[in-house]
Amino acid sequence: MLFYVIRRLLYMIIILFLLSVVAFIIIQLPPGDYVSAYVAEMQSMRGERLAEEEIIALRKIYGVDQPMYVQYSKWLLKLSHGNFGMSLQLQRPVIDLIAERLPLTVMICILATIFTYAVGMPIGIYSAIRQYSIGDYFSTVFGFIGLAVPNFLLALILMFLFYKYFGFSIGGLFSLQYMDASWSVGKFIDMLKHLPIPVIVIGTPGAAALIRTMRGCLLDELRKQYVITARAKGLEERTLLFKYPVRVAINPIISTIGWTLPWLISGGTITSIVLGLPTTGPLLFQALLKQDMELAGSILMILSFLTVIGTFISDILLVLLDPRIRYEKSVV
Amino acid sequence: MDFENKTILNNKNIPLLQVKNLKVYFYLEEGILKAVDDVSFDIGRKKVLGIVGESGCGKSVTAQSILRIVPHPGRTVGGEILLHQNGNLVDLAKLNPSGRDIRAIRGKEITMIFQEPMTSLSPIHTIGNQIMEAVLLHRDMSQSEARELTLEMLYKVGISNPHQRIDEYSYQLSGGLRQRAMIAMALSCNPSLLIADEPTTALDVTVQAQILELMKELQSEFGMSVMYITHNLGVIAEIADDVLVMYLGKAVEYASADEIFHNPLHPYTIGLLKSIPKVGKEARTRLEAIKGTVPLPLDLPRGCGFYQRCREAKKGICNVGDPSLIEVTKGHRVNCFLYK
Repeated sequence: MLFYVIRRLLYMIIILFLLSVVAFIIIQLPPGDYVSAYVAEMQSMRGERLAEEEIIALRKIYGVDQPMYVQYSKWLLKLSHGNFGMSLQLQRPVIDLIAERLPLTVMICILATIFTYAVGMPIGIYSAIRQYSIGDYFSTVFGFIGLAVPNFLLALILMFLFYKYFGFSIGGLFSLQYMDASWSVGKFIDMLKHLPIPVIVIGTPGAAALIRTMRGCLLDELRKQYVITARAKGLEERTLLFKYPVRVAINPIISTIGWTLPWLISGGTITSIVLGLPTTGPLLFQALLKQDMELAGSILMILSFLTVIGTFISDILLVLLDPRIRYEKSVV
Repeated sequence: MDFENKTILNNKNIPLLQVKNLKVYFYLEEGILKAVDDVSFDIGRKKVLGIVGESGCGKSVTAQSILRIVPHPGRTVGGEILLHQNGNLVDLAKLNPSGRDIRAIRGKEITMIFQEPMTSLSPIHTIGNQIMEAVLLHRDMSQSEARELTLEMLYKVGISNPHQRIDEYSYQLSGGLRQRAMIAMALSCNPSLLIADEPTTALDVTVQAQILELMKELQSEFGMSVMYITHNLGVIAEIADDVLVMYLGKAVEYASADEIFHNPLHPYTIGLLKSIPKVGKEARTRLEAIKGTVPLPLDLPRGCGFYQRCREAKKGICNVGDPSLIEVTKGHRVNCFLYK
């Protein structure tokens, strides 16, 4: 087990390195760089034309005049020291930008995750044990709708409904009067009122997918002989259900729980933009648009890191949960 | 319980389990599948009843209906399953399949082992956990007492170093060991009836013989009745006192094992016996097979279910009326127009 963990950690470092290359290349892929984006913006927004010398000077300041590999090595060197660099566009340290958006992002996404599992698991289990019942058909329809309706559309519909029937101010996480206020009970309650829409919108596709996964996995298990063995033993149906088939069926689900980690940061970028949420999603989107190299790169690297860590956690969980994997030679 | 029943129960000859006119139908979209259609038999105390038949003849469903674990959409639609249980008479067919009463009988009075030892144990619980679960459920025992008993049972079914095996998972055991563990689980609560649904079919021949031997030993040691389901007549000859031959959901012949092997009456039973190779028979002679396959018991035409495949079939008789089970000689019943 220890050997397994160490080996996995080594792989993780290699993968992160490769990911940093990929992230860097992807950010550099669009033609131009931050300065050309900046120049173009200046021109279209304010009609200012920058002189050739000024542009060259800017390039030098921002370091985008150097060859790719130099830029990359500099960035990597900084990253390896835990320095995320500066946002070119906002002229603030990347770490501050992320830090101020992270708590709300994490809170919304944790709530959305809880929503996903709290809705998806029970409905999935119900759907499986009452296969082809009216409830099952209903949840199937809900599942497909949840999967098929784009997030932003759902967000718009919910915003409309909440505004029409509850009179809540729509969009954002706070009402205007609390926007820049410091934390107070009033602000907290105001935030709670704004939370349901983003949580439902971000959580619904996951819940819908989970219903289908849970139903499928559990149906497979319910037909297995060991369930009949347990029933023939005289176990009560509910005890039996949760001790055997459900316990086996949730393995693949638990083993993907770690993948929600990167989603904590990127979670519903488009939803966040539509709803005007102060989360990290829109920040990444803006950074990519403006080719704000260090900001975009940092967020992408944090996402990659969380993905790798999440997968690692999932694998460890699965090993702990499923003895069949625990005892495989490669693991011990 | 009324007076009349009490006097009957005091009689030692009363069988442990009486199945009368059992009907189990599956309600499918295509129609009603009569998996078990009007089957009756008794299982005597400390006796072994063998049930023989081809795949799909209803043997397994018969067993499942006794424990009331017939899978959906099957339903017990008629008949009685009478269990004579220390002075009490219970009709299992009338119990709620998920109720408390049947659950107290499952795993305690009547236990079952299955054909597939590979899948009949949970992959993610230890052997010990699964056996102890049955013990804790039905016997008034503490965790540690239950564990002691489990170790003892594992030892009894011939598993070496039970102290190690008890904490292992099913995939760490071979097929034979798994089936032994299943037997240990089934016997841990001292059942009065053990239902064995093709327990050796999925095993190697040498292991089959060991398991069969073990079951015979344990049957006499524990003094229980056994209902042994198989398609293997050799196994029946080895273990059974009485034999029920089933075909297409119906009992076609029901007699003592001696009678079945030495004086078979139904053309189907005769066909089955002829299809087994015998030592001492001249080499390279052709084994006789029963032609055709078992039809699906769905919307069957009138007449004897075996009509299409029967050598003795008489047109105008066998395909017109339904034969019924009649007693030809004492204790020997057959379901065929040849014996009227």
